[in-house]
Amino acid sequence: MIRAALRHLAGLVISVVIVLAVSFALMHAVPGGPFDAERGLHPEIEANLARAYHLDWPVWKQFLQYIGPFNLGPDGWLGTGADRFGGVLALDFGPSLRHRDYDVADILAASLPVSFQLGALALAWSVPLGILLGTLAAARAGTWLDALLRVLTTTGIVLPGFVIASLSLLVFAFAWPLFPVAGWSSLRHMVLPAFALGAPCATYVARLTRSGVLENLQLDFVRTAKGKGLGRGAVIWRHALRSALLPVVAYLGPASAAILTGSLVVEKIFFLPGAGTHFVNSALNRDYTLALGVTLVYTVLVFCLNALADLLASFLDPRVGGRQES
Amino acid sequence: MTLLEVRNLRLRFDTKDGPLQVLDEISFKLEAGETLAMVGESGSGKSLTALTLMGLLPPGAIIETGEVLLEGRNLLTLSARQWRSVRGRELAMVYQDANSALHPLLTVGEQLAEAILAHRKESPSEVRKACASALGEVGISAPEARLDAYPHELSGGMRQRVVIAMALLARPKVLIADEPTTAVDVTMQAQILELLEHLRAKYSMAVLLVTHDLGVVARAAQKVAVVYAGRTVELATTKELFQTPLHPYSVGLLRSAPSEAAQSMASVLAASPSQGPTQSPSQAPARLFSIPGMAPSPARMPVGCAFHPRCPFEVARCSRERPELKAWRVEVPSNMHTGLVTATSRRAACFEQERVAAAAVASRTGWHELEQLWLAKMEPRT
Amino acid sequence: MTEVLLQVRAIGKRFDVGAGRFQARARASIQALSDVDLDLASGQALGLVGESGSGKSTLARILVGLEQPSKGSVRLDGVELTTLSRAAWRPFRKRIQMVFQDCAGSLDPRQSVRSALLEPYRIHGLYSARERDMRCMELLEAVGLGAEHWNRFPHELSGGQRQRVAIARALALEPQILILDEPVSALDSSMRAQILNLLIELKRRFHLACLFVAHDLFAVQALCEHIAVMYMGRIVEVAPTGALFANPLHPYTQALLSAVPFADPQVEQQRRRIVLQGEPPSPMDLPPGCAFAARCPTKHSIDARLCEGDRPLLKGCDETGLRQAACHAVVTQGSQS
Ligand SMILES: Nc1ncnc2c1ncn2[C@@H]1O[C@H](COP(=O)(O)OP(=O)(O)O)[C@@H](O)[C@H]1O
Ligand SMILES: Nc1ncnc2c1ncn2[C@@H]1O[C@H](COP(=O)(O)OP(=O)(O)O)[C@@H](O)[C@H]1O
Ligand code: SF4
Ligand SMILES: [Mg+2]
Ligand SMILES: [Mg+2]
Repeated sequence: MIRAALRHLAGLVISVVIVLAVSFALMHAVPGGPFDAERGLHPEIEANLARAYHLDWPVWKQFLQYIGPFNLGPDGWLGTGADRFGGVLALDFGPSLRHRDYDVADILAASLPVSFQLGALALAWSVPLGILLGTLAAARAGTWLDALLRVLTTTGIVLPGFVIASLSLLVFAFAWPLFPVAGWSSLRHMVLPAFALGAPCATYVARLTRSGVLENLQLDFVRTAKGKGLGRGAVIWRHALRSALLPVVAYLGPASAAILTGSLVVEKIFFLPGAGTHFVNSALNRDYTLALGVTLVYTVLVFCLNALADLLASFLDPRVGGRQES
Repeated sequence: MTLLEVRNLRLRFDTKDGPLQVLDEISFKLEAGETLAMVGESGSGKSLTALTLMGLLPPGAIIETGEVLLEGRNLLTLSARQWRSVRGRELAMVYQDANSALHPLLTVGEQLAEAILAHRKESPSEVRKACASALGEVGISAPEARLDAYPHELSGGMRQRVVIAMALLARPKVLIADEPTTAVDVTMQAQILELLEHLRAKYSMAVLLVTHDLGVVARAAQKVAVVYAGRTVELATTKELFQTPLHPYSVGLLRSAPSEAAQSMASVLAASPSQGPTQSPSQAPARLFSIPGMAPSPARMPVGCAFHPRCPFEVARCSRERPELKAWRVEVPSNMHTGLVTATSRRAACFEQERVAAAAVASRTGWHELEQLWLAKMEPRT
Repeated sequence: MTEVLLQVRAIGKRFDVGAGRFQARARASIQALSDVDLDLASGQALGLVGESGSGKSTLARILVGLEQPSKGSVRLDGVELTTLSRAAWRPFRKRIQMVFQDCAGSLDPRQSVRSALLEPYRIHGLYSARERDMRCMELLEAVGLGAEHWNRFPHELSGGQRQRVAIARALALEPQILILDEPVSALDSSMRAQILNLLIELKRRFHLACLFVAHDLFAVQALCEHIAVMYMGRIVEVAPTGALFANPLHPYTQALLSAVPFADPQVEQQRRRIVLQGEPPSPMDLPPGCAFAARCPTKHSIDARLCEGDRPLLKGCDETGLRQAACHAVVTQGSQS
């Protein structure tokens, strides 16, 4: 158990470094700079700004300065004076290059809760519903209910997240205005985004559960359960479903990752003040520090969630890490 | 009234390669308090018979004809709801492979408790007590502690005991044990057979003991049903069967099982002075007997008597007509030393059973002739 | 006296296992084998008998180099095998072959009988394609299968036929030593007799040295000249087959012999039966004395404290020294007579 955790941690450190390096390099490789949009900037002012933010440094030096709590230039970190001495290792992502009054950390602090609420909400409805529908489909395998659910889940898997988001907007906000189009102030605002974000996950979980339960129904322990005189309900929900849940729990890791990436698009479509929206904007605006900050936070999150799901799955399985008595 | 009677059970699978007749008239009777062994090679349909009795047939199995009468009530006509009250409470089963028969993610206690709660409401503490005492009864030490163990934490023998305890919890009238000792080693087999015998006597249960091992039959059963290729070919008491088998297949089975004779042969080898670690080639062990040929697969059943391609007693009729499982009046020696002959009524599905009986009796003085018969039969084919 | 081909001395094997889910650091170890001595000679078979978990498979795997012993030596024609590198093992692999307990698992389900039999030749790069085919046909015939099985897949064969294919494959490279790990345990009695007959014949024909692992004394008696009985990783009795059956010395051997039911109801009724009580001890926590003491019905006839506190050693107990047993009670008997 502890070993597994350590292994996950090592993986995390390595991939964070790789993700940072790659995205840093990509950002700088693409033509354009953070101040392009501010039309009419005098070339000298622009040069001054660039110098202030060390954009005139070689990329590798900028990268090192971004990471470490060490002083590479005369002015310390990003020119805000010798008192600023951060770097991501000190949990300082620097100031946003676009919203110069804000630090990236402030922006993240304001927007991440929105994204978390959205993601949690999406998981909270989609996983239980997926399990429920999957089990129902397995219990009624071969009937019209199973067929209907199969059509639904196939649609859910095939349609990309933004199509579901746009469609649900069209139907439930414009054509039939049950829910608000955008914003994030009440539960009603959250319904459509959470639906759009969770739908692919729900369908996938449903499929996973259905095949797991069907497979388990063929196994000997299910026969034993029936042989005791248990009813079909107990056999399916207590015996067949239980072991079918292990792969579902393990899938929660990738599912959370999918929800995180999905949230980038969904937040943008519903104009939510979440980290995803900021990420998309920052990428478009060459707001290097903000984009890198969001990337970093998301990488760490995806990793932690994956590790958590893994540990949870092995925790739920008594056979893992235990020992056999003989 | 007979406790459990199976009459002419026929079962088929329809596969894309055509129908598979896997059970072709299985019949036997089981009285309260007795152990009936169902013996036959693997693939002869023993497990499917057991599963039919429990109403747990795999999907695709079609029961063509037959009746399963439990105290006169035909189980094959029960509804799903009625089945539920029969399973576990009136008929309970011990499965061939205790490894896979237990749920890996539920504790032993949880799985045992279900066997009670499926049939009556009881308080959790009472259920726990009952489960612990059931575990104690099947010879598991520290039963209280074992309740919280997961199956993988137990050894193979203990898992088999848990499965037996589970079957006993609802006090069934009939216990069906499908090869309960095939997956465990000989010492554990001896322990489990003794346990089954003890429980049968204590609760005067009826036990249907499925096995391929005639040694197990001799040790544990009072009556025997010999099955071959999905068909009951002989019904007898254990004593009768071992004394005068009436079906050629039973004769062959008997001959190939480890017996007292085998042990005495070994003793003879020991008695002869054997210096040095090598035994001279003349002492090299004799070939073991096995019925020549192979059991037919359900896809290619021989016409007539299914055993005729392997049978040394075969006559022309055997490959045309199928012998019914009928009561025959045969004269068999009741005492092999005095040669006293009594006529008894026995059931076997063979046209030539008087010849078989005579040969079986003669074979007491030596299997030699019988084996010659078998060899002669096989010669032209190979 | 035939020369010894494979000499096994003082083999011990320990497995380290993690204990418990939350105590990753607290480690336990399983003592699977301790101080095992064996000799295999050409044309001779040794039966290795014991209940499951007694270490039989582990020993078999050590002999064919699939497992490294923790201590001890295995010598083939005087060459120490346990210290060989993988590459240095190669030439010996041809000489020692193994048939596995789980023959269904050791045959690739997607491989036809033909390609399963050709594989050993392919791996070792032996013979031309034509010659390979011919040899395979001969092998099939030797194990009692016909040309019609040539292109079958494992699922199209019965358990006995699969075991025959596994045996044929082990024989492909003309080994001198054949290690058979419970080749008949999963088969029913008539099939068992057929495979045993086959093995008897093959042993005679190819002058094989065999180690035949089983959990049932009767399974080995037909094939083996000698039998070693194993309990919790130790050999507790060795004897010529006949002598062992006529007069088993170790209480565990006696229990094993009486455990096999005879196909004779009268004998079964009259027979003195020793049904062991309880379970074997945990291999992680072996008792200091005789590992069998907790279940031993004989220990009360001598001093039970001796059995529980002091480990009996494997000692010769007849004039020839061929019979050996590790039991305090046996030693007492011997000195009395
Ligand atoms: N689900 C199934 N579909 C098709 N054939 C089956 C199925 N289950 C068992 N059989 C066939 O039925 C025959 C009898 O099987 P079984 O009752 O398991 O035999 P036994 O228990 O005597 O070894 C075998 O030939 C087997 O292949
Ligand atoms: N790879 C392994 N890791 C840990 N323990 C093992 C391993 N292989 C075998 N054992 C243990 O060693 C003991 C002997 O096992 P084995 O040789 O398979 O016995 P047998 O073949 O006699 O049944 C058992 O307690 C088993 O659990
Ligand atoms: S009916 Fe004929 S073939 Fe069948 S067992 Fe009897 S003698 Fe043999
Ligand atoms: Mg079966
Ligand atoms: Mg083994």
